[in-house]
Parts: sequence; C-alpha cells; structure tokens
Amino acid sequence: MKILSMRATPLGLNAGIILIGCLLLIAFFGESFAPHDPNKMDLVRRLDGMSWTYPLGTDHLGRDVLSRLMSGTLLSLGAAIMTSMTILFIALPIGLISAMIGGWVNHLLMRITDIFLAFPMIIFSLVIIGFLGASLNSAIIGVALAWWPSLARLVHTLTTDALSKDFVLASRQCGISPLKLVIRHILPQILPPLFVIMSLEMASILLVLSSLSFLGIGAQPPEAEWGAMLNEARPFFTERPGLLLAPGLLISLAVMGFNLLGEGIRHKLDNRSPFRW
Amino acid sequence: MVDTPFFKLDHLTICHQNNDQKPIIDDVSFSLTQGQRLGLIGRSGCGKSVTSHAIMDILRPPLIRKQGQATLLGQDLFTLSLAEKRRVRGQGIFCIFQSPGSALHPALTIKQQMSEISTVTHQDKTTITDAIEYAFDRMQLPLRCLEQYPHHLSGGMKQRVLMAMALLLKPRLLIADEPTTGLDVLTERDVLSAMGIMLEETQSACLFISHDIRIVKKVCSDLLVMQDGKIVDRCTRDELTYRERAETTREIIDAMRVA
Amino acid sequence: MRNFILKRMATAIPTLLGMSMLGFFMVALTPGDPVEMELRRLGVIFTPDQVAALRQEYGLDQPIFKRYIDWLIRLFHLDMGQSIASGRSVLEEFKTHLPLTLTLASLSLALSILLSALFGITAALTRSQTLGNFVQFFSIFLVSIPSFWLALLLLFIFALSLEWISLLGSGAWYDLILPVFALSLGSAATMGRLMRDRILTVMSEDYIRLAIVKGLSPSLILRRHITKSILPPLITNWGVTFGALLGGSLIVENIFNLPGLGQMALQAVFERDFAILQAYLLFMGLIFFASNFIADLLNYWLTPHFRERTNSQGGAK
Repeated sequence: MKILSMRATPLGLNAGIILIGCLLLIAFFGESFAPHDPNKMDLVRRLDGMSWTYPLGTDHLGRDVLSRLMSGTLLSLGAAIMTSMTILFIALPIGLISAMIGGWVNHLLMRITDIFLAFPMIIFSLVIIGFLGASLNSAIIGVALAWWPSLARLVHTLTTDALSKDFVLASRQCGISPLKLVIRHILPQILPPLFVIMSLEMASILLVLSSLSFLGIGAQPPEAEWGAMLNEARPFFTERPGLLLAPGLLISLAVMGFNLLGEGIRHKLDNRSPFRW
Repeated sequence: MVDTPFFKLDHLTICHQNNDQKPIIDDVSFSLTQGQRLGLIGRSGCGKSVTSHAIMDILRPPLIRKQGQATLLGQDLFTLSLAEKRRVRGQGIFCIFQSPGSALHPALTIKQQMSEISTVTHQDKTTITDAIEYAFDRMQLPLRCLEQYPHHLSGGMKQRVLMAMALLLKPRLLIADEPTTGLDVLTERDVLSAMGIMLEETQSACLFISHDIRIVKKVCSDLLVMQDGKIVDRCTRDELTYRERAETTREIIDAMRVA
Repeated sequence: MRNFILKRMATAIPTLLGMSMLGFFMVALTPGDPVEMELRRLGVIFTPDQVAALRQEYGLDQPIFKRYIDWLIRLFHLDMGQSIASGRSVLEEFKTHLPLTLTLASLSLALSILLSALFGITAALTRSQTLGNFVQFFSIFLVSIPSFWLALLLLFIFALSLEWISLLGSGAWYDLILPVFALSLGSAATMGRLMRDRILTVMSEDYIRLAIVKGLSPSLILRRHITKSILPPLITNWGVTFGALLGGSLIVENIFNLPGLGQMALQAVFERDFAILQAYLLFMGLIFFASNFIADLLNYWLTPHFRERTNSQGGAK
C-alpha cells in the first residue's frame, strides 16, 4: 500500500526562491543602483548613524554601508558559486570515473577521498590558505579542496545507482561508447539530485567563505565581501555595534535562502508517513 | 449465533485528506459477537488493511476518517482520550499484520519484546516469564529464540511470536491482517494451526483479513466481501458455494477454483 | 570487543598513512626554499656554498621519499619541529593551547546533543502543526546564522546591553558559557533536524505500529523502540560533529579572544608558520579520527545487533 502524498508547495520553498531571486537581482544590478560609490571615503562622516544620505550609516572610513553591501553581493555570492563550480569540476569526473571503471581505480580514488575526509573541513581549508597566503582566491581553493571528496562520494553513489538501471545495462551490452553512455544515460539521471544537494551545499559554502573572510584570511579589505566587511567593523564593535548588524543579517538571509530552497525540494519529494499513537 | 454484538463498526468512511473524491472506505458496517471468527476478503488494494488501521485508530495522513463509529463492549473507541485508547489497544483489540519480517523491532531481543507486554497487562516479572514460556510452548517455539534477534528467525516463527504475544495479551478482539502472506504452504499451515490454538485459548473474537478464500474458509464461520471500499456481500461459510452470490464473490470463488 | 578494535585499527592504517603523506607533501611541495626563507628571515647574507651546506644539514638534498620516512620517524617521537614565530617547539605550543580547544569542543558537543534532542523530539512528536512548523523554521534559522555573527550578537546582548559580562573576559570558568552557546546552537539545530528526520522515518516502520497496537505507553515506545533505532546513526553523527566543532572553535576562539589551538593556527596563517600549520592539520585529523573511532566503539557496545560495522562516512563542515 503506497500512498503518494501530493503536498502543496510549502511556504518555505517559496520564501527560499524569493530570497535567492532578490539576492541575484541585487548581485547583478546592485552596483549600478547603489546610492554611492562603495569605495568613496568621507573621513568627515566616519561611523555615522542612519541618515537620508547614508541609509545604513557609514563605516570607519566614511564609506556608505548600504552601497558596499549592494556591490558586495556579487562578490560574496560569486565566490560561493565559483567554489561550488570548482568542487563540481573536481568531484564530477572523479565520482564518475571511479563508479564506471570500478576495480582498483575505484578503490584508490575512494581511499583518497577517505584521506581528505579525515580532516575537519574548515581546518583543512585554513591550512591550505596558510600555505597559499591569505586571499579570497586561496579561500576558494581551500574550501574547494576540503569539499570535493564528499561530493565525489555522492556522485559515485548516484552513478552506481544509475548504472544498475536496466536500460543502462542494455545499452552497455549493445556496446555504446563510455562517453556516449555518460552523456545520454548517466548525466540526465544524476544531475537533478546533484543540484538539490548543491543548493544545500551552497548554504554551507557561503557560511564557510564568509567565516574565513571574517577571520581575515579570505577576502581582504577593501573588498566589500560581507564577511570581510564584518571583519573591518570589528574594532568599532563597542563604538557602533550597528555596523555589524547589516552584513551579518545579509549573510544569514542568503544562507537561509539556499537552505529553504534545498529543504523545500526535499520536503516535496518526501513521502514518509509516521504512525501516531 | 444470536448473541448481542460486542464489537460494532458503523458507517466507517475514510477519505483522502486533500480531495473529497471517492472515499477509500465507503460506509462500511459490520459487527462481531463474542468468539466469532469473521473473514474479510477482497482483492489487494480494496481497503482491507485500511479498515484494520481505522479500527485501531492509527490511520496515517493523508488518510482521514470522515465518519464512523466503533464500539467495543459499549465503549465508543474513536471518542476516547489518548490514554483510554491506549488501554483498549493490546488487551481490548490486538492486531497481527502482514509482513512479519518487519513487524518485530530489529534491535531488541524476542524476550525484550515479549516481556514488555507486562507493562500493559500489569504482571510481575516471574508471572510474565512463566506466561512467555507457556505461550512459546503452545506456539511450538523453542525457548532459545527468546535470546535471539528477529533476523535469526524464519518468517513463520516470527508470525508465531506475534501469536504468542496475542496469547499474553488475551485481546477481546484480534485482527489478523493477512498473517500468512509470503509464507509457503507448510508454514502457512503451522501458523494457522497456531492461530487456532491461540484463539481457542484466549476466546477472542477474530477479524481475519485475507485475499485467499481457501484460508478464510478454513478459519472463519462468516465472511464479508469487500470491493473498492464497500462491503458487497455477507454470508456464512456454508452459503459460499451458492451461485447467487454477488459478482465479486463469484469472481473470487471462480478464481480459486481455477488455481 | 578486542577483535573489533584491532580490526578497526588495521583498516585505519592506510588512511592514517595517507593523512601523514598529505600533511608532509603539503609542506614539501609549497613553493619557496625553506632554507633561503629561513636565512632571509634572519637577515643573513649567504653564499651558494653555505646554502648547500645548510640544505645538507636539514636533509633537503635527500630524495623526497627518504625525507618523508625520516619525518615520519621524528613524528613518532613527537618531534614536530619548531615554531618559526615563537621559537618554541611545536609540541610545547600544542600543550599550551590544546586543553582549551578540547574543553570548548567537548562542552559544545554535550550542549548540542542536549538541545538537538529537545528540538528533534519536539518537532517529530508534536501533534500541533503550529509548534511543529515553528520548531522547523527556528532550526533552519539557527542553521543559517553564521556562528561568528551569533557570537557577536550574544556579546552585544550580554556584554554591551545588559553588561552582565565583560567584553574582555574575566579568566573564570563562566567565560566559556557564551562561546559554547555560540558554537553549539548551529550544530544543535543541524543535529535536531537529523534527529527529527530519523524519528519520523522510524515511526513509519511496521515495528512501531506493532508497539502501538500492543498498547505500550508512548514514553516506553520513545525510550526503547525509537531510541534503540535512531541512536546508532546519531552517535556516528556525533563523532562527525565533534570534528566540525573543532573547526568551529577557530571562529569563537577568535571572537572571544580565547587562547586555543584555533587562535594559534590563525596566527600561524598570518606568520606563515608552516611547522605549526602542518602539526595542526595532523593533530586535528588525529583527534577527529579518534572521535569517529569512539563513536564506532560506542555503537558496537550499545547495539549488539549491529555488530557488522557500518562505515562512518562524510566529513565535518
């Protein structure tokens, strides 16, 4: 007895789509609509409160916080997207190859992912950054290197599932070339679930990248990355705590957007029904 | 049998939560007298199992009860509080479901799962141990099974463990929902004879749900035929052979004959 | 039990070796000659002959594989080199900074487990749609807040507004309360969601239906049947979470100005103190390995039924 429940689109999913949509709009058009030049300093009006000219006030160098946030959206989201693309770029071929070739190749590759997974991810990223020198690029490389193994494992599992389908077996027996097999049969099967996972991973990647920038080992000032903005504002925490409010809120909203999106899709696919007493 | 019914189900109707199209269970009523064995047959997916879930009041969303009343010994089951419902479950009505493979908790020993019944029957430790040993004896289960986990047991043994649980609980009404599905013919015979012993001993009434008229004829004195959530025919075991039965009943009888 | 431990150890050896290789080659392959860097740091003028002599002294002229073996042997003798910045041995540095980080991570794990049980059980068992939705939304909210921002908010509330504590800390044990909360809330929410998920999955199993039909009390079903089923994957997750908390301690140590390993490592990033970074990576990997190992042991001990070992996979964020 199987009852598939058709649920209405959950509120959370809609909220997630709207949040991400807004952020993408700001990312693409924010810089041109920003009320001020995000890097223009006005040392007379440093650490100003809210006003009509500076809606969210100014930072310690007299730069407009709102404009910096708007122009920083592209950088912050862009860095996260770059990172997840890099991760996919490494994880997809490795997962595919190990699942399709199998044997000792599979063994070796999975052993390698094991080794990478043996370190806490953020610590691994930090150490990589340590060797490369602190910058946003190093942070992206560091996070990608720490992250690819779990994704590669996922791709491996999905591919193994896809390979076991009857129609895939059939076309393999017909002698289809491996490349054609991947493009025609494997990718169409594994990409949809992979993108759901990537949406959830985007949330974590955004968190880690902003954490690294906050620690001062990711994006460097004067880049208007959200985490870096928080880092710059830290010395003025007691003087003007409000300066730390807006960037943090923006990071949380962005992360929440991706979480809601991923969870929403997952919820829609969920058809468990628990017994109640 | 002209006893006053001690279990009654009236006008049970079950629907899908979100659409009020055709109900899954449509105005089903029947009653059982003390010790009566009633068979409920019909093809797979016609709503037999849902009926048993509804009686135990463990329907899962998106299924909901639209209307209906179930009375056991004058108690209206659906209006009881949670605590009172819990008191009816087990000693009032107990249910043995199909697929014994997944019915027992995989990480608890058989003994643990048997002896926790003492919290329902309020027996002390030695009484329950004696009762378990007696029940195992009656169900022809070796005592060494007690220390084992469900995956060590065969399907037929698991089903007999469930029967042994019923022996401990002594429910007024036992619902057996396709207890022999997935078992081979010999195991099926063992399980059925064990069930006969158990019912004799507990004097429970029994609602026996099955798609297999052969078995129902063996176990039950009366039977109901269900089709698309409706009761389409009622008769006694002896009336079964008559040709003027409802369409579905004839279909089922014919199908069995061919096989 | 002993067999299990030995077996588990044996399968871990390749991974441990791999970890050490990763740690070694990361330094060995970093561009820049360590000898020249060292000399430049000291401001010494050097001739090519002197450099060659030094290289020989450090063993840098040896083939890389031999250097790896030598390094590994020194590692076994707990000789991890010296911090360039402080001049102290790496081991000394660790001895000073490790206790705080371990305390922080352990307390946070304990609090996370406690809070996640609260979240998870409430969200899974409540019949009230409103409460269920609220807990669900609240947990997504907590998962999404960066821990550094949460820490700053906590500081803002308790240090700046209420003035209950000093921004600088007082050196007493209760300095750890806010850091532990800042570190735990996110992972508590993540774990709570996992727990809710697990409970709902278990509750749709046939054996829970049997338990209900038997007439068992809800508390017994929860304590015994549900707990027994959800515990193994949760314990595995606790092991992984501990690694994530070790990483997360980087951030809260920084904000609350606690002298833990994270602060030390961060300093090392700025000072490009490779010896410290290498040791930090290996050490944290080892502790993470140990926490996963303990989780496996706990599972082995708690669930005699699941004696077949389940692979603990997935890394810590």
